[in-house]
Amino acid sequence: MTQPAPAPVPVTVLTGFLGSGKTTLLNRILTENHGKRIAVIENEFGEVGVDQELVIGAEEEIFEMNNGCICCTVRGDLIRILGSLMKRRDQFDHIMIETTGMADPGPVAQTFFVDDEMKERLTLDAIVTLVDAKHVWEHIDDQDEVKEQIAFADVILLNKTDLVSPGELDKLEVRVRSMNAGAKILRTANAQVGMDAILDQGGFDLDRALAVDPQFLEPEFPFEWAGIYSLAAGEHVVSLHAGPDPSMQFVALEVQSGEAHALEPAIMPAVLAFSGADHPTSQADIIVPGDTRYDLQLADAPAAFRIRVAKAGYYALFTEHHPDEFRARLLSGAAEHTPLYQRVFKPDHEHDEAVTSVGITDAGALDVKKFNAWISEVLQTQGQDIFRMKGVLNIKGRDRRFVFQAVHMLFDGRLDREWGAETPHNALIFIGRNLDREALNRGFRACLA
Amino acid sequence: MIALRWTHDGRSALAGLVGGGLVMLSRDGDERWRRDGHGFGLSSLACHPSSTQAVTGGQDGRVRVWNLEDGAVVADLDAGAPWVEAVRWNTAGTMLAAAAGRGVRVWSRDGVLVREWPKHRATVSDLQWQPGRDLLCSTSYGGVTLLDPARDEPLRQFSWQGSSLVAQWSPSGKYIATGEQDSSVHFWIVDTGKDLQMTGYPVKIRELSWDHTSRYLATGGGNEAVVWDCGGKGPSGRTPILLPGHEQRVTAVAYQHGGSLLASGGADGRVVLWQPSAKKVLVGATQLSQAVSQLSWSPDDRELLAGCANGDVAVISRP
Repeated sequence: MTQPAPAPVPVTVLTGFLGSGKTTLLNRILTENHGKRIAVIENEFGEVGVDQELVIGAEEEIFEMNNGCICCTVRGDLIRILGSLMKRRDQFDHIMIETTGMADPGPVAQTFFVDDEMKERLTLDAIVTLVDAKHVWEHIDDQDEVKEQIAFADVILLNKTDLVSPGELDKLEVRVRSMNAGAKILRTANAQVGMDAILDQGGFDLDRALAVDPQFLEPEFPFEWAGIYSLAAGEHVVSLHAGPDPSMQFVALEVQSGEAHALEPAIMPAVLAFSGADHPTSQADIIVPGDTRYDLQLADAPAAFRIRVAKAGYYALFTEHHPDEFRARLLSGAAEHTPLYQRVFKPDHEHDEAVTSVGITDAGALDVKKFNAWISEVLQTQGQDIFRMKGVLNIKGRDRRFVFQAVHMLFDGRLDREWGAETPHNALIFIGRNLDREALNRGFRACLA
Repeated sequence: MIALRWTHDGRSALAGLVGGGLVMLSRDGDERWRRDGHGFGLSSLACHPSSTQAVTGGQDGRVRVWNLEDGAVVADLDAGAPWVEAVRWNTAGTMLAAAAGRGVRVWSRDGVLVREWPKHRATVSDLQWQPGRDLLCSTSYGGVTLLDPARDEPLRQFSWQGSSLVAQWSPSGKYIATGEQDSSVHFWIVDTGKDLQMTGYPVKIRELSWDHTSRYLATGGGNEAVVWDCGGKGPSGRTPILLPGHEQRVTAVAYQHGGSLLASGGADGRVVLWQPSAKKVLVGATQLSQAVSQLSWSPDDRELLAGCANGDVAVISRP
């Protein structure tokens, strides 16, 4: 009689702009002793059988599918090659697909959702994107391919870290994180990374992403910017010009040092302070560091507000808008301070069209009918802009987790293991363009049972 | 197993294996010889219609003609691209065609290149000679192309926005049926260039077989074999005959060369014989060890050769 269907073969998709280090990583994977037999599909015809690995060349061929879905394109060459490869299923444990630097990862990912044979016998384990930490800035704003490669990724390697300063890396990580809050971000030089960080990621498993970085589903912060300053005891002045708003919310908190890690413990207190009572502040008032939110009145701008610091130390200033929008400066007498560390909590307004993530977490049980209706509508109307969506759901009446992922309009979900000791909850993330955070949150909460 | 064919005289069978190997089997299942056919993988195989030769194509970009008596390579031809998808003899056995990458090449019987069409609109997925005539059709993303080995330019293009995976000419030459990636079957009427699209399949279609009268086309594309009646006004508007005999995907369909029996093989390891044109359609069924990947009727239509994915071969006699 026939045997049960064998477990699906995991597939890793490797993307990255030209020069980001894909070939270096691929050679590493092919030569390193990781105990796995990996079949590699390269974006050009390579040599056959490097160290007994299977290496196959592919010429990118995009097929538009006739299924009424306007954004549904797949890679015909991959369907053909993977189909042939699966006939020798016993010769490998894992498949790796390298894409060209200019490739849109969409059609590659969609191939695993659209073709019945691929759906049955393969599973998209992870999209791994390499980012050239030094040169990516030349492309990140104007090359759609770079944005899409970052947005589609499950794992992002900020590579060539040896060529940039830690500060530049931090800045890059903030930017990358703002585009894709769901990915695991690693820093590498020469694409040097443990195979366990790349293979068997279970692209599906949002909980694994949560385990890596519990902060990844960042709430929408009520502030856009924070900077740490070293201040002497006494009075200092925040000077502001007129900006897009007639007022700006402001919180100052003492922190331990001027380093990046010193900001973390102050973030939640700052969120709480921002949610506090209104406190209209004029130039006559005095600002004191602590859990009060000051609403700086800017009707008469330019304006100067005084901060009184009781003891010398490090202070983090949180601002509702980016200080550049108000040409804000911090002065002690005539001397202007520069922040020791600063962090942007939301992409600048000029990036509104850019790729962002919306994360939603909620413990409540979902009404499956309402959720289906809502998510279908979201995917149908915004599927072109939503690159990826993944999540774990707590469905009312089910004692098992429901896990799902989507690429553009294509949705794939299934019941997973039982919740067990874990508290049932929902955690989902949307990555894409023009995402309306508020509407997505509202829509989701309307599906709670 | 990639391919399994009877030799022209029905006395032996030739099997192409996933690893690239080529095995000659005697009528009673003994291995006569085994060759390392195509190092990286064999993709297609065809026995010459009237002699003890066969042709194979592989993922090493080579097309090889074999002497089946001793397993020697008679000709080793460059297909023009690293991945050969299909190799076919014409009905008379005077010409050999191969599809590789976006190109198609035709050679004479003795290996002289007759014609090449190097640039199809996409990778060629299948290639078929018209039965009894020296005309080829190729399929790719974008439709079907007709090729005449006497001309450099393609004869005609049947365009449509979809990915055609496999093709079969009806023996009459009237229709070219294609199995499509988007889970449909297309009928191209060769004379007019008009087409009919048959949808409703759950999965893509890679299994097609015409009966010898050109009236019935059998297809896979799900857990049932499907038979379209193309008699009279054609299949348009007609409900196909559904043959539910498998618990899993139908993986092969084969009509007899001259009879009306249809064989279907499935991923469930079953081989079922049907007579779709009669009222009592189910003729018999056999369970094999593994998913069936190949079905081929003997030249005299008495025996059916079945190959399983794991390499097992069975010969099933007509009841």
